Amino acid sequence: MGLTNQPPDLLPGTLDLLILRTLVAGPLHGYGIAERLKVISEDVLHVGESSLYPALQRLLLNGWVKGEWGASENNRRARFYTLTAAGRKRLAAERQEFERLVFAIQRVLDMA
Amino acid sequence: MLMRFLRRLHYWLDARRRAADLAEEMAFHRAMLARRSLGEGGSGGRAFGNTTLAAEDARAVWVWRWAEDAWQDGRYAVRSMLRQPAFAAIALAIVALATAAVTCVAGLFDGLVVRSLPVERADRLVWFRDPSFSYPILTQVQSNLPVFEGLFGWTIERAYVDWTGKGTQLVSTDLLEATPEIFPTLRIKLAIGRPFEAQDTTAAVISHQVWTRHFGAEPSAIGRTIRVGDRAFTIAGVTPAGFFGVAPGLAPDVILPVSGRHTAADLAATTSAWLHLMGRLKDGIGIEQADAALQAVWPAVMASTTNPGMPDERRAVYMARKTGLEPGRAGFSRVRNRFGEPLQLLMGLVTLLLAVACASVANLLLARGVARRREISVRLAIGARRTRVFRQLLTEALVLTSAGAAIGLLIGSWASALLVSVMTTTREHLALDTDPGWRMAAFTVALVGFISLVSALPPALKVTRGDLTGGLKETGRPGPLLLRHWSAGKILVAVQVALALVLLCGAAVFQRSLSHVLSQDPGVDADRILVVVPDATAAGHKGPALNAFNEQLLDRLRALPGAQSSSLSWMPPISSDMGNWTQRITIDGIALPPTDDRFVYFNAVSPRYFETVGMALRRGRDIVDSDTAGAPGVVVVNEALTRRFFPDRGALGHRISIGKGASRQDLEIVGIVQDAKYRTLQEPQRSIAYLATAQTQELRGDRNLVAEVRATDVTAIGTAVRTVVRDLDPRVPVRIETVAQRIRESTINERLIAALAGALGGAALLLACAGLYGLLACAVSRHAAEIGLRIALGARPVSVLWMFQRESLVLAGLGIAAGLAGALGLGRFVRAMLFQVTPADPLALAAAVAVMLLVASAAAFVPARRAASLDPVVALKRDS
Repeated sequence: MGLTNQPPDLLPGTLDLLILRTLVAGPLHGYGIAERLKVISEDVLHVGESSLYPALQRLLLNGWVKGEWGASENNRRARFYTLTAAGRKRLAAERQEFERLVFAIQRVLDMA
Repeated sequence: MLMRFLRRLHYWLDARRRAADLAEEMAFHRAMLARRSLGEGGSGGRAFGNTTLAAEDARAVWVWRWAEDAWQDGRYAVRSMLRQPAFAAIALAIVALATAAVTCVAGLFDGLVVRSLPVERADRLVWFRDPSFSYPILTQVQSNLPVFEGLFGWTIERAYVDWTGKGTQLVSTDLLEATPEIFPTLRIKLAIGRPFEAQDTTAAVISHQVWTRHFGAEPSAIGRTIRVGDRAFTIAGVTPAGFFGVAPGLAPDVILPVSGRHTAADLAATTSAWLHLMGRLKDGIGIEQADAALQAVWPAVMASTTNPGMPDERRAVYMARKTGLEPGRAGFSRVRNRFGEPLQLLMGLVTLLLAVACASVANLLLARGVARRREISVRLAIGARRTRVFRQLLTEALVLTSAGAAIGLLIGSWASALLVSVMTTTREHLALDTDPGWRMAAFTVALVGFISLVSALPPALKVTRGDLTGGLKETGRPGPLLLRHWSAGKILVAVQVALALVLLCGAAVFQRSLSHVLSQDPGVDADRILVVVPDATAAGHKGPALNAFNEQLLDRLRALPGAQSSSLSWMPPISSDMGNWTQRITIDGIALPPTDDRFVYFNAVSPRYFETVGMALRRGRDIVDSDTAGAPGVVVVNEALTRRFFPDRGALGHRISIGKGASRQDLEIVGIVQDAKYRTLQEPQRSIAYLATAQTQELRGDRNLVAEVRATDVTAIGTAVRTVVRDLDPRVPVRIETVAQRIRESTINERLIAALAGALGGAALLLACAGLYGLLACAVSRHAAEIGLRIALGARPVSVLWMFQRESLVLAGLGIAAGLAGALGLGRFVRAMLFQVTPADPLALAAAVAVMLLVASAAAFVPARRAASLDPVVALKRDS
């Protein structure tokens, strides 16, 4: 519909993968996830609310993350997301699949 | 998958808090962003995009889209209906009416015809066609046919039972007499106690209902004594709750062994066929296979049960009897035989009414849809998908019909119970579970789906298919006026008229049939004769005591002030509940070939019977006091018998004989009386011979007589008669009714059908004329400007009036033509239920057509007059 803030160059399904990956280091709140993605991608990946929160809800629904309320760095109430065991498994599987895909794309681009 | 479902469910249960959590989380996110962008010196606000949509999208992860939409549509439907309460109320009433009618009849139909017996593996049961057999036939089949796991004989009779065992509180009760194999064959697991065995002749198994009602559901009921008639029985067991036996419609309160009230000699008799046979097939044996086995042994079974002394021609008739197996899943019931056909007819009629109701609701929805075309066009124009709007219209219809059907189901189950109580007479106590169980609930759900789909689909299709611009431009001056084109609404109205006319024709034909039945002359003064049916044998009277009881009864009745005349007889007038006595006669000692049909109906009466019931003596004399057992045998015959056997010679003085050998009786015809009906009003006139009660005591054995009392005030004398019987013997149960009441009970089917067909026809008529009215009223208001213009240009009010009347008559005429064709086509299904009327009875059909035309023009008159009296100035201004 053209109203989302999701960067157009992000492959479908990759956002879930990225979110799960950011959570490997430890629990983060929604804003923290967005910031981490932005910083690590050196300002390439801007994840807006309108794609971040549906994605988080989707991960909750599938049981790959769980949310717990806690205090943020500036002492506001915030929901921190933690990777579950199922989430870890999912991350490994998705990552393998993603790498296969990237490798395949690379091969196509590199052909003589 | 399951975990996802559970999490989703959990979300739904806690949706409000979850939404609040999400909102808080996103607010925090925005606050953090704002802080950072302030720090960076930018303007924060725009960066988050559409926050509501984001929240919606996040929430949408959890909910099923369609469920959410359906919920919204439902709420919207309720709101929009509350905005138009009149429309909603009418539509609700129509759906409720139709559902009530359908569930009422379907409930009875289900209980009586469809439902399985409440026993284990009822599908393995079979019953023997024909359907009654003697006890020796049962034992022969039992020992010669190895295809059954179990086989039993049974019959249901009405008798007087005293649950206290003292014989003082006899109540009329249905009892099931059966051979002991009934318990293993039906696999009945008794609530308490044990079943009776072959050698038990005084054991009884009572129903769960009686156990609860009369014995407080105490286990101590086992071993207590009950009395059935003059015999004592000991309670051995109690049937499980919900068990009613094998005959749907009847719920006997006690099961007795066949040897309980019948002697070994009774049972051994091969001449009386009184037991129904039911069996359970062995595993792995199909009904065809079992039937073939039965046909193979049947001649041998019949041969082994013939009487040695049987004359050859009787033997041939006996041996020619055939039988066969029928599926016994739903049992076998005389009540079903009696009411099954009328119920099927009623099912047909309510289905027609349902169709009329669907057309009416469709029409209402269509009118509403057309009125909302602008709204719908706007919604389509701003991007709503057609399927979405379409679905919303369907949801609205579904909400409407579900609400209506819920009301209808309640009324319907109540009406079912009412119908059962109407069908119950003193002769037959109808016991049917009319509680709408899950089957009826499922049926109603299916019905609702059907009604909504049929009535909502065409309007929804029509409304959503229309082109956008037309709807948007619409200013209340749509399409051409009236007949110049056919709209869906008009077709629906014509269909309503057609279906309603079919129902009206049915109502008229059945009414004519009933009036023919009721106009039959019973031959007696129905309103002035009280029939007294005392059951003296139930109180233990036998032989001379029984005769003495009858004589004393007659003496005391004759002494009653107010009783003009009294008599005794074997059979009362209109004897349909007591059976009949027919015999072959010989005239003047000349034997006739056995093929000749010489069956004559018999009755035995006391002196002054004819005077009491009001039958005129044409020639000769009445039965008199001197016609005693020792005197020469006499008989009075009716005119029909005289016409049949003595067409050109006087019957008086001739002799007729009944019986053979030692039991042969020669009777001299001493009188001729006028014709009267024997069993029912509908029967063709029977040839009847009246013997003297005093000369038939041997024939009668220990059977009860009935008494007739003639009085001007039958109600007053009724109480006096009851006192007389109580003074004679307080233990004797007695039933007292006028012949008119007996006629009413014997015509219950005809009256029920006529009344219900009339009610359904009336309802359909009402719906059809409401449809017609609605269509024209709508047309008048929408075409007000055009009509105003015509009037302004000089059209006379009469011609405007006629324009609308003509429209209505053309529509009604088309409907009537189609309806008549339908009525004639369906007529053959009801032919068998009509008396002296054909389904195409011109008078009945003409009456139905006349009523329909009259009502159609009345329905059109109101809107037509409004059109004719339009003020052109006002009408023309309205739209511009």
